[in-house]
Formats: sequence, C-alpha cells, structure tokens
Amino acid sequence: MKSRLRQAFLVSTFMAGVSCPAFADPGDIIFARAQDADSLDVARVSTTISFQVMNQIYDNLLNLDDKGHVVGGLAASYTASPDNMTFTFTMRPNIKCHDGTVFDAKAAKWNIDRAVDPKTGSSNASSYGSISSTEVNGDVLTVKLSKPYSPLPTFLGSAQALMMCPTTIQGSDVKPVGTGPWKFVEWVRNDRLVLARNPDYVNVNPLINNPGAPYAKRLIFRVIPEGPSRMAALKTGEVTFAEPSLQDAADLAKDKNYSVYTGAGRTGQLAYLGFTAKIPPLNDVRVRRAIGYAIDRDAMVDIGFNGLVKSSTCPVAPGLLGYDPAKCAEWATAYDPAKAKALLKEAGYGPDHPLELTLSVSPLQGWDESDVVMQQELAAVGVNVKIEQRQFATWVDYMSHKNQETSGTPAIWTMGMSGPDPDYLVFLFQPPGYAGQGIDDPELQKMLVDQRALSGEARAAKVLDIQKFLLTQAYEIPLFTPGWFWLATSKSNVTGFKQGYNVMPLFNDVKLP
Amino acid sequence: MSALAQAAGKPAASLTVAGAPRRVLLRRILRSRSLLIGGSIVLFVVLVAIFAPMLAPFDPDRIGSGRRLAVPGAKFLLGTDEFGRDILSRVIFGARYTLYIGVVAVGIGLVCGVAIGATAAYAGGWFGNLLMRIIDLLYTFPDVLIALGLVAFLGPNLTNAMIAVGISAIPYYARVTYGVVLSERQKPYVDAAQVVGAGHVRVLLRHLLPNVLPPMIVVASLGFSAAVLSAAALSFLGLGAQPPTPEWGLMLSTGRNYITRAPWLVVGPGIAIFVTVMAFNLFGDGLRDLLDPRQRQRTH
Amino acid sequence: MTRFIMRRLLAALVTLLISSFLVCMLIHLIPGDPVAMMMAQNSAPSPEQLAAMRHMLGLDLPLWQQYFHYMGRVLTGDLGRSIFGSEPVLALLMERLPNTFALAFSGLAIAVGLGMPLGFLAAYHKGSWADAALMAFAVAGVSVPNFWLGLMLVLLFSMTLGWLPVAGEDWRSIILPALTLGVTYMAIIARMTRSAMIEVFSEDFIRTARAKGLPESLVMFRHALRPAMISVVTIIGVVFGYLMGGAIVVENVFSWNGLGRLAIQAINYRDYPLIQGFILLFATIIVIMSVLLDIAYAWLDPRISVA
Repeated sequence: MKSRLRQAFLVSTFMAGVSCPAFADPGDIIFARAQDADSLDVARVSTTISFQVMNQIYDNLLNLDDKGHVVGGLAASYTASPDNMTFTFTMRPNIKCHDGTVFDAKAAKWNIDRAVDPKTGSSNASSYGSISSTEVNGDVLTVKLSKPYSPLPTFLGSAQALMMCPTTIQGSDVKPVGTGPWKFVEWVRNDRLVLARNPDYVNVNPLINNPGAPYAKRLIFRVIPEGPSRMAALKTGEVTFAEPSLQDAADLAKDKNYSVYTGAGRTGQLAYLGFTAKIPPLNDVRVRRAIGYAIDRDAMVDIGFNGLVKSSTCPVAPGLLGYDPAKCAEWATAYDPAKAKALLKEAGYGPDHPLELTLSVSPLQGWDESDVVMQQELAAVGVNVKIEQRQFATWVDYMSHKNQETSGTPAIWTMGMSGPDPDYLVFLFQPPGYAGQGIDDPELQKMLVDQRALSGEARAAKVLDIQKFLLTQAYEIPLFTPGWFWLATSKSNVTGFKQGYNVMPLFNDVKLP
Repeated sequence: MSALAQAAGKPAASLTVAGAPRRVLLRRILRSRSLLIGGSIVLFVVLVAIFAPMLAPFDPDRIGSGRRLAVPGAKFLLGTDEFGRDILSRVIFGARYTLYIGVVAVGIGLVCGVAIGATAAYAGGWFGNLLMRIIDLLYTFPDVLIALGLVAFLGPNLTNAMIAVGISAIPYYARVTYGVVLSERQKPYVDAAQVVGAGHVRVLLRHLLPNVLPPMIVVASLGFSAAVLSAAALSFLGLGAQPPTPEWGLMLSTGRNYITRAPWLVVGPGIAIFVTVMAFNLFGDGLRDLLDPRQRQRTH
Repeated sequence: MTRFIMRRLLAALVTLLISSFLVCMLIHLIPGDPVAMMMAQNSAPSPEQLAAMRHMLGLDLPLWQQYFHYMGRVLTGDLGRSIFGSEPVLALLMERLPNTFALAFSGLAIAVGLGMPLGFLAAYHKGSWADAALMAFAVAGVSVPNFWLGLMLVLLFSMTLGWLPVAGEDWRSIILPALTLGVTYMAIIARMTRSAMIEVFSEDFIRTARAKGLPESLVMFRHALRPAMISVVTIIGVVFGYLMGGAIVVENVFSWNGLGRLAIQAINYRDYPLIQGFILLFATIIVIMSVLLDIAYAWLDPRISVA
C-alpha cells in the first residue's frame, strides 16, 4: 500500500511540474491581471484588456506624443487634404514582421481594408470613417473617403487601429504576427500569455525612451482573478506587475517600497449608464432622467472605488476635445431623489406600480460594488432592479440584440468607453452602434457626421452640442472616470514602466532590479 | 414525536437484552445525541429564518448601516461588509434562502425520484429495468457535474440553480425508492390488496407509500444537506444567487476578494453553511438509526 | 476474467453512448435560439453566418439525426471549436486535463493516505473515545463546504502563517488545493474504512488466526491486508467521481488551472461547445476510471465471480 501511495504522490507532483512550464525567470516581466484578453485579432475585439496585450505585439501606423499630437509610426509621415477626405501615408522603410515578412504599404492597406470590410464584422469599422478607396503606390498608401473625417490620423494612433502583419490571419486561426517590441510565443487562455522580446525592434514612439529592443527577455501576462492572490503574488515576487485590488491600491501608494501607476492622465476613459431606449417606458425621456436623478455618483466613487476615480457628468472623457465639466453639469442630471420620484410619478409610476428594470452588467472590480449601490439607490425611489451579469464579450453580444428590441423587459446597463478623441461618440451612437446602442435620431446623426468635417474650436463646439443632446435627452448618464484596468503596481525597484493613451502599458523601458 | 420516541425505545431494549457492552451503548448515546443536536440546530435555523426580520439588527441590504469593512464589535457582531452592510443581519436573512433552496431542490428531487423509482420497482420487467439502468448511469456522475451542466445551459440564476440541484439529486432518490418499494412489493399485503381488486395507483398510494415514507424522510433529510451544499457551491461559483441576495455561498464568493483586509467576511457565512449542513446530516443520521437501522445509504 | 472485462467494457460503452446523447441534447435547454446565443463576438451576425453555424452544429437536422451528426464529429475527435478564440475544444480540454488529474490524485492520495489508517484505527479500537472523535470528525468532514475550507486554509497557511503561496506555478501551490480536496474526502473514507474493517475483524478467518495465537501484528498484516485493499478499491470507486466533482469547485477557489476552472469560464462566456466538451470528457474519465476500478476489484477479490 505504501509504495502505491508513493507512486500516486510522485505521479501527481510530476504532472504538476510538467503542466507549468512558465517558471519565472529573473529576466521576465510578469504582469498579473484579473482577466484575460478575448482575442488577439485587432479587427475582432474592442476591449481594453485585449488591446493591452495587442499593443505589445503590434504597432500603429501613427503615434501620439504626450500632448496628443500625431507623429510618425509605421508610416514615417502623413498628409491630409484640406477637405479631410484624402490622406497619404509614407511608410518607414525595412520594417520587419516577427516572422521575417516585410511590413509595407500593402500590409497597411490590408489592415484597413479588412477592418472596414462588412464581412469582417469589425465593431471598429465606423472609426475609420467612410473609406471609399485605398491605393498603394510604392511605399505610399493613399486613403480616400467619401465624407470628411479630420480625426482619422488620431484614430490611427489608437490601439483600435493597431496594424497586424497579414500572416496573422490564417483562415479562422489567429497566429499573432506583428512588428511591435514583443513577439508572440504562446497563449494558454485564461492562464498566461507569453511574449518574447523582439531583438530587432526600432522604436519611434515618443512616449518611449528606449530606442531599440526592450530590456527584459520575456513579457508574460498572467490571469489571477482574485485580488488578494494577485497582491500576494506581487509581494512574494512571483509577478513583477499586478493590477491591484481597489482595497490595496491606496495602501500601496503610501508604501515607498511600491509604485502605483494610475493612467498618467491619458486614460480617456468614461463609464456611463445606458438604456434600452426603444423599450417602453425607457423610450420616455422623463423616465430616463428620473433614473439619472436617482443615482448618486459620489456614493459609487466612495463605496465602489474607494475614492480612486472621479465622478463625471460629461459624455466625453476628461482631457479630450470638447470636455467641459461646467457646461455638462448644467445639462446633466445631478443626484436628486425627490426629482426622480416626481418624474416617475409623472410617467405613471409610484409605490403601487413600481418600475421593474434589469441592470445588465459585466463583472469588474469596483463596478460590481457600484452596481449594487445603484440598485439600492433606485430602490430608494421605487424602481426595482434585478442585476444580470455577463462576461464582457457575452454582454456585448447580448446587448447588441437587446438594445435593438422594442418590447420586453426594459434594461439599463453600464459600460465604459475610452479613446484619444471624442469621435468615439460615432463608434457608440451611429446605428447600429457599439453593442447596438446606436440612436436613430436625425439631429444627433447629423451632428455626429458634421463634427468629423470640422477641426479646432469649431469641432469642440459641435462636440459640446452633441453632449448637450445626449445629456438633456438622457440617452446616457455619465458616471465616473477612469474605471477599468487603469491601475498597475510594482515594487519601486522596478523602473521605467509607462502608460500610454487609453492605459496601454509600455514595457520597453522597464528595467528589472 | 411519540412515534419517534417509540421507535427510539425499541432498539434500546433489544440492545440491553443482547447484553451490550459499554462501547455499543456509547455509540447509541452518540447516535441519539446526534439526533438531538442535529434536530435542535435545524429547529434553530428554521426559527431564525422565520423570525429573521425581528432578529436581524439591521436591514440586510441597506448600504452604509455602518462603516465599510468594520471589524466585528459590539454594534456589528460579525462586522460589516464592503458596503457597510451588517453581516450578522445578512447571515440571518441568508437562512431563509438556504431553507428555501433546500426545500425546493429536495422537493423536485424527491417528487421526481420517488415517481421514477416507484414506477420502476412496481412495473418491473424491461421497462423498470431500463428506467433504473438510466438512473444508475446518472448516479455514476457527481451531482455537481450534472447541476453544472444544467445551469450552464439553462442560464445561471438562483431559480435555475435550485432546479439543477433538484434534478441532479433525482438518481439518488430514485434508487432509494426503487430499493424500498421493491422489497415492500414482495410482501404479502401488496398481493392481498391486488387480489381484493385495488388498482395499481391505489396500491401505490395507499399501501406502498406509507411504508416507504419513513426511509424517505431519512433520505430527504440527508439529501437536504447535500442540496444546501451544492446550491451554495453554485452560488459561490457565480452560477446561483445574484447580488445583493444575502445567500451564504454568494457572500463567501464576494467576501473572498477582501480576505486579506477583512477575513470576517468569509467566516460568518461559512460557519452558517457548515453548521446548517452538519445539523441536517446529524439529524438524518440519527433518524436513520431510529427509523431504519438496517438501511445503509450513502449520504452524498 | 477476459469475459468479465469484455462485459464491463461493453457496459461502459453503452454508458458513454447514453451520456453523449444527453450531452448532445443539452443544447436544447438554452432559452431562445441557441445559435443566436452562440454567435457571440459578432455584433450583428448575418443570416448566412447563423445558418452556417446551425449547419456546422447539425441543428438543422431532425433531433435523432442530430445525435448521429454529433457522434460522427466526436468519434473523429472533433468536439467543435470554442466560440471565444475558436481553438479546438479538445485541445483546450487536453491542455487542462493534467492539472485536474494532478489535483484529483494528490487529493485522493491525501484522502486515502490519511483516511484509511484513521478508519482502520477507529475500527480496531471500536467504541473508544478516539473512535467517537473520529466519527464526529467524519460528520464534520462531509458537512464542510470545500470552497469555504479552502478559504480558511488560505487564511491560515498563506495569510497568517505565510507558509504557502496563495496561487502560482510553484510546486507548493498544489498543497492547499490538494489538502482542501483531501480533507473533505478523508472524512468519508475514514468512515467507510471503519465500517468495512469492523466487518473484516469479525470474520472467521481473523478470529481463527487470533485463536491460533499468531502475533497481532502478523494477523493484521497477513489476513486483514487483502480485505483492506479490497475496501480501498471499493472506496476509491465510490469516492473518485465525487472527488472529481469536488475538484471542479476547489480549482476555482485556488485559481488552479484545470478543467473545472475552464468549465466555469466557459459557462461565464456561454461558450456552449466548450461546456459540452467538458461534460463529455468528464463523464468519459469517470466511466473509464470505474471500469479500471471494477477490474482491479475483480482481480483482488477472488470471491467475486468473474464468469
């Protein structure tokens, strides 16, 4: 019996050893996150958690400097016609993909064509503008549009427009091949994603100092869903970076042995509440506004986020063109339960006839708690809310259908949007819109198209008009900023970590102790 | 109660006659003690559930009853959770959910299981055989797997979790019923009833069921603890109760995010599940020894 | 013996056929249109895409043909592709299988390694306070929720004492999950061993051996060992399936990257082909294990007729 037992022990420990090949190496950067990327196909996803990985593997056609100005990337330079309808991009020479193939103007064209092809079904398509043709002439790519689109270069500097090497897509398989600082090695879904340093890398991103290949050997993203486990792993040195739990972030910030990174003021993130606005009674602006009045953003910030985020009433994130908190506050609903009750009464709801809603959300730290806070606050004005959780990708799919429905259980939902430019309002609200939230209102649609033709002050004014419409019609209730995957922490002897636009982590300059 | 006392008296007498040595006596005391302890705790949990609104010092769902993550103390005996809700109040109200889940799940399992088991035993032949073969097959698989599979496809929420847990226990009830009915069937009174001309349904309901009932009570009590445990596990995995329901498994699931700073979040609800499940196990064990000392069935 | 094995294998095959049928039919439990629910990631699937998916899954066939379609795929090792990431389901499952086995067998080793001797001692000293204590412990063991026990062990060993890592790829990271799994089933095993051994001790050949004046240790070693082995096999047979079920939950407490964690992720993402594959694989493992245990049992116990 003894020998049998010993055998069982040996077998089990042996197997545990075999199945975990990713032992930590002193030259590895290991980043522990709560969730895993959904996909590494840029055209198929639009989640921050996926972009944070893709940003390591793929590069952008253009980059944004620390003031938000567009500078060169895979394209050394670009030109825009005065009417913002023709753009040319001159490629940097001799850019090599990780598999040895060349990234040239043809490869860039392939990316854009694929993203805007309706067959691809990319939710990012609308952010490329109304592209009518793409042409390659030597190392120059010319993109022509049927409508003016001034923010195109800025968009091309964002993670949504990362450029994959065409060899990435092989039928239904995605084998990530890029030009970025890190090469794809392996991905064990929901466990770890291993990247290795690209020794031939030449950096042109102004946010990064290191001109060449990253200093570390490998970059590993690990998934550790539980906050306490991530913190324990950070403290024992099992991982280099971790997304801290909101409980720990404040403590670590005070501890000089740790560095806490909070998005470098470039998160461009805004969390908001939306409605299935076609399903009665949420098609009634009074009911939508009543829900807005019932919500105390400060309680969400305090209870949900330990004060680590700020409440906001603007549909456009702080720091972006057209952000004007004073104006937004005039139009938005502030916390006022009495007003909420009065409006609900007007719409025919009261204690004997309470409004029943679903709150459709996806799980995320801080948000889970905020959802319960909201549920409680709505209960206080007589609205009964049932919370329904779905993982984000599933949530998007579900909401794309639900938001289009005109009958059934009315639902409110929360989502976050980030970008380097307020043009993401088009991504959200131009039908069908992301997650089906497009709004069929000719006035709004006209403004969304018009702002694309403008620039500078005039564009800012138009973006403000759009926000006024969204807030007075209460199609969205802005909640807080930032709010997802924006926190990172490491021991303070790890240096050089940076966060780019929309909380894209940059590891090129990271030096391990 | 008197029936129980009677049943309790009989074997005790026979034991003394057999000149039982002290250790057998000890076992017997331990057994009846388990009935006593288990029964009192079950009663306690039931009372807590019934009088929850009177017992709970705070509204279980009210955010900010106190400071967030307050340490257990005089005002909040079990501390507060991440919303500043009183944990004691939530544990008290949680008893309602636990009993509700247990009753519904056992109800589903018992009704379907007894129907299938009794039909198979009574009908016999190829039909009864086939029915039991399928039940045996399902019995091979852990109930967690069956419940998980059902919840996955029905969609995760409390109602579906209860249904899934109930269905996953059907094989257990069906097998026990089958065994009991089969042995009862062979007894002369069934034939006698049939000779007199009683219909099948009548024989099943009037004659078999009363004899089958006592072992089923035991099985239901043990099944109750299993159902509570499975449902709590589903909620813990996020496939059962949804927030802000003060369900014990769910409380553990959210509480574990704060385990480093506020371990009391996972202590109270955990002990509540543990004690309740143990109470039903003890109660069932004790009952079994009293009502049906021969029968040895798996508890899980 | 060969005939016994053949018969047992045939029965297992039938079991697997019926389970696969049930797994195949699970898809019809999905409220609404399963295909629409499955086409996640695609904001607006076209009718052609929906039809293609329906066809691939065989859902456009009559119900009875769906099963043959499904089995046709399964028998060629095609369990479909995961909706998220579109990896082959079989590959995803196989990647996690060793981890689940490592956990389950370590747990089993702890449960058997501690539970059997405890049960043996309790039976040997039947009626003593130690016996009573063990029985009380056994009741506690079957009643404790394993996910809560896991949290308590983390609290004790990782947080308070700082002995063991909470999660990670260190070999020590298997200790807490295996212990959690082991302790709950140790109680059941101790209890079962105890009753099995009480029976063995009362058997004639033991009493004869004792009467012959053989030293007690020799009696135990020579005569009680074989029946003890038989009861080990029986007990493992009973416990194994439940232990695997327990592993599903425990993996999720400790972020242990096995099948159970994959299953919960799949459920959260409504990744139906992956869930189906998981259930089928899990059922297959349990069936195979029960066949192996039956054969071991027949081999160990000459009293069983193997004809």
